[in-house]
Amino acid sequence: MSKVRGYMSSVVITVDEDATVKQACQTMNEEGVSGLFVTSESSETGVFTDTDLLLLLSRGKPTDTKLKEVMSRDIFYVSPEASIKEAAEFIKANGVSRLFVSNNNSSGEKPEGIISVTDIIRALRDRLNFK
Amino acid sequence: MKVTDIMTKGVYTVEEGTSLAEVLKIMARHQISGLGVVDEFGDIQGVVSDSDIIDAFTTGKDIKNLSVRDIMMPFSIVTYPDEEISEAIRKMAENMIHRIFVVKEKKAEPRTLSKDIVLYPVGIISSSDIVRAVGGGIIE
Repeated sequence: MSKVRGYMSSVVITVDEDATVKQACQTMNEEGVSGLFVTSESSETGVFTDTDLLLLLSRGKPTDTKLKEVMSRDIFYVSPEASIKEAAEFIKANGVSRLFVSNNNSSGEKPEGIISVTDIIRALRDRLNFK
Repeated sequence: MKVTDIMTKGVYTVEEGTSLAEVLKIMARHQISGLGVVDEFGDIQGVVSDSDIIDAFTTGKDIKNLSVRDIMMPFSIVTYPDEEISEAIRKMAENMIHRIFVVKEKKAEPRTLSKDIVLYPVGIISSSDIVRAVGGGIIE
């Protein structure tokens, strides 16, 4: 069974918690990603995704709101050695679109990768030879 | 700001009998994560997305032999080209969906016995369209 390591993206885009939502969206556009890892001086970390953006806008919050006010502080990690199926189950169980990949998730350190729903679909396609 | 101002025009669609293998191919070829499901009259019936495929995978279904009808999400949540974008965003957030189809109405042809109106997809708004609009200052 394929492992997370073989399908994860090693590019984790980070942004400071004092950035605004608008700045975060600009970064997401430039980098072509739908989620950012949010860092801070206090090493408290979070995540800001397109889903967080939809929730914020639907509640009428302005786009100059700082990320620290709206980011999700629940970060879901998976080991690079986990199977693709384990990652898929974890994604489904937590209702998220991506997991951060790390062997050590106890600190605020930058993860070594991200595995998303799109990556899992790619793994499935390879497995089934659906090219 | 209206839906038509930021929507992606054109939608990739499949029918309920399309195989999952074909869905995976279309998604890869066009780098998209969801397809509209339409009936023989072009009336939108639902969506099949990457998360529906993940659901099937994690529940141990035999993915090789599945078709769209086995995994699609039937829905009635749509938006319209002249709807306010804020309303489309509200629908997406409330229903926890990453894409919403933009539809127009047309009168059903006489052979469409079971319905008077057909809702046919003309575009899509995905969460990445919203990110682009906020990043570009189009949505404040």
